[in-house]
This record gives sequence, C-alpha cells and structure tokens, in this order.
Amino acid sequence: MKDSFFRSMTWLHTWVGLLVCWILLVVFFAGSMSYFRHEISLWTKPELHSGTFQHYQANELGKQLASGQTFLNEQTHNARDWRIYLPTERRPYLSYGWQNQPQAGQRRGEFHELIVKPNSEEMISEVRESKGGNFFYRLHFDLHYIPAQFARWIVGFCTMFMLVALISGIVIHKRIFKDFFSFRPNKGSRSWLDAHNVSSVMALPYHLMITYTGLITLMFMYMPWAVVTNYDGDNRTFRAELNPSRVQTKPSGQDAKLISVASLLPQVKRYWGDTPIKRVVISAPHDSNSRISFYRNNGQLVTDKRTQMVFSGVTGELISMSPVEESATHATYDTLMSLHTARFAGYFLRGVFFICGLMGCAMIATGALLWAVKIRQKQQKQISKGKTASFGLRLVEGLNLTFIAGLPLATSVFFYANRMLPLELQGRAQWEADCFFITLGLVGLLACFNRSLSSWRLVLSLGGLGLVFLPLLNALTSPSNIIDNIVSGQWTLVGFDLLSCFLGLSLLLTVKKLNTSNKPKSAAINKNTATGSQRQHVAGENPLTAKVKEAAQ
Amino acid sequence: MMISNLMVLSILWISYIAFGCLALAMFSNFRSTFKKAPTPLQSRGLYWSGWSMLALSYYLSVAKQGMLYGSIFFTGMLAVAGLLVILTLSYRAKSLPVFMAAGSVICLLNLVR
Amino acid sequence: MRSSSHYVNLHVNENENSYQTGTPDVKSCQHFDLPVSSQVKTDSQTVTHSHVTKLTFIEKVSLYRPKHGALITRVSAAIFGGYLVAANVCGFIAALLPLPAVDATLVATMFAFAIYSISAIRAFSLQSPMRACLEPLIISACLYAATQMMTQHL
Repeated sequence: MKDSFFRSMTWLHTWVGLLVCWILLVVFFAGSMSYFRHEISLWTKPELHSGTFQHYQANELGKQLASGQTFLNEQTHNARDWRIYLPTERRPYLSYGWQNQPQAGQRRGEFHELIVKPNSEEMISEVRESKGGNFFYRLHFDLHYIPAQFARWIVGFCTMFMLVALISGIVIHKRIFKDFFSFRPNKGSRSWLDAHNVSSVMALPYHLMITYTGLITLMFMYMPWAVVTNYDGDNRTFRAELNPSRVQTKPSGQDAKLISVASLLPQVKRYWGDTPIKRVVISAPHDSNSRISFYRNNGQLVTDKRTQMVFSGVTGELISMSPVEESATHATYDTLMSLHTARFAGYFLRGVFFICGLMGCAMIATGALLWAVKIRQKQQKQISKGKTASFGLRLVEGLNLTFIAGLPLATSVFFYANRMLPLELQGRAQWEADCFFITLGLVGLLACFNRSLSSWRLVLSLGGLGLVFLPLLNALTSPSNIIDNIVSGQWTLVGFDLLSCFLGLSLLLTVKKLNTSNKPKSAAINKNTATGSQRQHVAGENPLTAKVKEAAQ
Repeated sequence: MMISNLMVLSILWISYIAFGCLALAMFSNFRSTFKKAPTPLQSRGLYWSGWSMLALSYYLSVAKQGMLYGSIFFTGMLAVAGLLVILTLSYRAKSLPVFMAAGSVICLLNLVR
Repeated sequence: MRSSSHYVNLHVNENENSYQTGTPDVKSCQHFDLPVSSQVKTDSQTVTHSHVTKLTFIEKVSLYRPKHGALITRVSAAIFGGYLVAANVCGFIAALLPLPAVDATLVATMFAFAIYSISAIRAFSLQSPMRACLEPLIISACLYAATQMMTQHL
C-alpha cells in the first residue's frame, strides 16, 4: 500500500515539476536578481556613478526640502504631484521628481526625475533610459511581451505547480534526515539526485516561504471569492478598508497657497524622532485639497506598509498618521507580504536570500537535468542501436540547455547592451530587454541542432566570460571604475562588480569540470540505475552524466 | 538593530560548527573525515553539541535583532551554513574539523570584543 | 491478490515505447525512489507482496488502495476540482469567521492556497479516479450551499 502512494507521489512530483520547471527557473532567477533591484538599477546608470552619491543627513533636511520645493515650483506646470526623494542606503542620492497630469488615453501622466548633486545646485537630467533592476523585477511576475494580467495567471499557475511539487517532494523524501548531508560527486545520476535533494532540503523553509508568499502577493487576483462573499465583489470598498491610508483625495480645483514643506519638519520629528524620512510627496500642489505626505524609512522593520504622515498642504494640520492599530490578521498579512519582497532585509540577510534564491534555481535545474539524465540512460540501449532519442527527451534536453545555460549568458548580454547601445536610440530600455530575449532565442536555436556537451561548454563559457569581464566593461564605460569606487566608498557598485565576477568564475569553473570529467563512468552508471535492463556497458557516453553540482548554480 | 559584521560572521560560523557536529555524528561522514568509526559516546556527544550550538546561534540571532528579524536571519544562516558544510564534506572532508576550529577562533575573537 | 495483479499490470506496460509516445509511465519513477527494501523487480515477473504493510490511521482514512489510472480525470480533478474546493472553502471561511469583514477575508484568502494544494495531492492519492473527481464536486457543493445560507442570514 505504502509503495503505491509513494509511487503516485513520485510520479506527481516528477510531472508537476517537469511541466513548468523552465518558466519557474526564469521566475526564480529573475526573482533572485530582484533582491538587488536598486543596486542593479544604479549600476545601469553610469551617469550617476561619480559625484552624485550622498548619505542621508538629518540636519540638511530643511534646506533640501526648501530648495526642492522652490525648484519644483519653478519648473513644473500643473503637475499632479511633486516628489522629493531623500537619500537611503540603497538609493544613495537626492532627487526631485514630478508627475504630470495624464494625457488623453493615458492612465498616468509622465514622470520626470532629476538627480541633485550633493553640495551644489547642479542637477543631472540626462540619465540613460534603462529598466535596470526593474527589468528583472517585472520579469519575475509580469513576464515580458505578454499582457501583465495574462502573465500573472501563468506565473500563479506555475507557482501552484511548484507548491504541489514541494509538498510531494517532502512526502517522497523518505530519508530526509539520513541523507541530510550526503552529496556524492562524480557518481552520475546519483550525484544529480543528491544535488537536487541538497539544494531543496537545505533551503526548504525558504522555498516553502517564497512560494506561498508569492501566491499571497497576488492572492486577491487568484482567489477573489472571499471578497465576493463578504463585499459582494466590491473591490474598491475592500481595498479602502484594507489600506485606508492609500485613499487618494481628489483635487478640488480651487487654487490655494502651498505652505513650506520644511516648516512641517518639527511636527514630523516630534512623532518619528530621528527615524530617517524616505520621501516627501506633495499631491495636488497649489490646490485647496493639497496634501503633503512624509514617508518613513522603515529600515529593518518586517513590514511592507508605507508608514506615512499626511498633512494638509494649505493649513499644515495633521490629517492622518500611520501606523494605526492593526489587527493580528492584518499584521500577519503584512509580514507575509514583506517576507516575499524582503524590503526590510539588511545587506547580509539580502545576500542570504539571494543565495537561497540561487539554491532554488539549482533545485529546479538539477531536477530537470536529473530527469534528462535518467531518461537518456533508459533509452541508451536503443540510441546505441541507431534509433533517435524520443521527442520528449530531445525537448527536455533542448530546454535545459536554453534556460539553464542561456539565462546567465542572457543576463551578461543585457548588461553589455546597457553600456554599449547608443544613448540616443529610441526605446533604448526596451532594446536592452530585447537583447536578453534574443540571446535566449539564439541559445534555443543552438539547442535545436546540438545538445551535446560541447554546446553546454560553449554557452556556459560565453556566459562566464561575459560576467567575469563586467568590471572591465564598467571601467571602460563609466566615469568611475572599481578602484575609484572602492576609494570613494561606493560599495554598491563595488559589490555588483565583485559578485558578477564571482558568478562568472563559478561558471568557468563548471566548464573546466565539464572538460575534465569526460571519462566514461560506466561502472558508476550501472550501479546507480535502478532498472536491471540497463546493465549493459554503455558505449556512447552520456554527455551529462559526469557533470557536478556547480553546473546548476 | 544592526549587528556588527563580526557578529554576523560568528553566527554563521557557529551554525557551520553546529552542522559540522551533526554531520560528524553520522557514521558515514565521521568515517570519511577521520577514517575510523565513531564510538557511541563520540556520536552522542557530537549530536548534542551540534544541537546546542544551533540553539546558541539562534539566541545570538534574536538577541540584538528582535524575534522576527532574528528568526528570519537564523533560518537564512542555516541554509548557507548547511550548504557550506555539505560542500566541505563532499570535496574536502578531512578539512571539516580544521574549518570548524578556525571558525571557533573567529567566535572567540568576537567574545573578546 | 488484487494488489499483486495490479503490480503485474504496471510492469507489463513498462517498455521503452511508452516513453516515446510521451505517456507518463509510473515505472519510470522507480528510478527516483531511493533504494528501499520493498523495491520490486523490473522484469515482467509476477510480484507478490506477501507481507502485510500496516497502514497508519491517516493512511487508512485518506488513501484506501491508491491505483494509478485515468490520467485526464485525475489531472482535471486536481486542477479544476482543487480550485473549486479552494474557492468554496475561501468563501465559506470568509462567511464563517466572527472577525471583522476585512480580517475574515484576509484569513480565508490566505488559507485558500494550502487547501488547493492539499486537494490536488489528494486527487492523486485516492484509489479510484472517479472518486477523485466526485469528491471535490460534492465538497464544493456543500460548502457553497453553506456559504449561501450564512450570507443570506446576514
């Protein structure tokens, strides 16, 4: 009895995993990159690399807000709102922005942002058009090229599959504690299974958390039935009750004088003490309904809420303040959401999340590779007789090559495109994204014709070289290279260079291991295959049998 | 609520030592590291030291960073430490006790601070 | 007796051809099983499981004797039936809980995904595919009726 249940669960785990693993790999990869979304955005804008960074200075606040207000007052005409972004740890620059009224047919007006150089009135407006880190952020739930709603349904569907795969995986891993520390490299498919087990079990709490909280972020779209039951489907009322502080007040149309933003600072300080302010938004300036909102930098508080204080723009009286008392349920929801977005994480924890995300990618990749290796072994008898491999096997091997080897290469191409595409190119930001997908497509094309070890080596080495030379690219195309950055303490940029170098080196190390471990390991293969029918000597070496775990990372 | 880099490293190494002890408590891992079988006493001792090191690591994580952030931090550290132990065991099994000892030096340094 | 013939059936189906047509083959997952003592032979020998496996209470209640078959029924039961159950549990809990409306809605929606995955797994662990199909429908119908009754009383 037990055997049948485990057999069904094993079958379920295999197929639920296999059918969606490549989309999930893209999602996990893009999600892991998104942990460093702001850092990547910073790197992709070399115009900001020298002379713009500054720390948050509490005693300069008044001056900064005053000059911001003056500037926005002079420069903008009938804007919908004005924004002053104060320096934070991850966006270490001061900027002024404004959003225009939407034109006919637009949902939102155009947004402009100018970076202010420290200690001077100079502003930078000619920052190159690039999606930067937001490309990866959007990729992991909105995918690309397809309407966002549709993409979110696809990603949600795949995430449900992932959740079922995780649960069935836990159920079938009978020796979870005995095999907790086992990883036997160079033993063929047994190594792949070990790698799959290790990358899933080690970060199991993370995988379960990220999958479930991922569903929770879009849960009102996937499961609106509670809202339907309790609010008769009235989403607007529900949202207003959920987030009362986000309700926008409409401009009244009557003109009124705007008070000085800086004059509100003592009140803010009274309630928030020395907590840094993240940004100040002035909505409907010069209107009698104008509002001035101060947003607090929540630092390492595990919350996703935008803690804000809203004042009237005309009289300066305090209208609302959060955090208001929230119920335990609301707090749970907030915590779960923030666990997924990890906005609260300091740099170490962020790095840890990134590593766990990469382990998730390893889990998915080793799973797919394991399946391909096993099936190739199973079919080896016929293949050596001259028949071609089954369509399923060819498809899986091709998709493996495209996504597992192609994603790192596509990422490095994205960054090269960011630096090398001409600045005046129309729709430059979209072109960078297109380069990413064109690379994936080219690798896919290669996979149609050649899925052997040499293709893997080629694509992985190109990706590895691309990533390793990113610091050099940065030095050649940016006003400050890595040495300058170390000297001036711009650690974000240093970190990016070093991390990409490190990832590139790991890829190259993998390729080296691929080159050296090409000896037929038939004895090991025979010992590890479960089917007795595979006991004959395999003449043609399975290209993937001897690869080690790092290939998947 | 920020803890120093040295403290983070100590927590990481304590978790590494903890997982190392738990791994060595197992027969096969002990044998691949020390080339002999563990006595029941050694096995038991390693098992319990492993768990107590994990408890110490958790305590250090939540002491300065609060329950919520600390628990999340601890879980993440476990994942990284576990990965490091497995990599050590697979490629340099004999160096596991060496790395553990080196790690304890870092933690002692932190205590002295 | 029934169980052994069931296993023979599976083994006879196992051959390379089933892979080429892309049909999932339960035997293939044998490869992924870690070696366990009860691993069955892979040739077309008759297998008799003469030892009696003691089922735990949970297994007796939820499993019966699971059999693999009728793939499409199970897959639809898992995907669509599971969603139906989750949606109705969502609405039911939202109506049931004595918390303020916002909170009840939040709790219900957050739980729904766990229910969905459990239903999906259940669809694949039941013996008969028919039961796997009918169970979600019946549960959903009952929950829907209960929810309607509760919300009309308000």
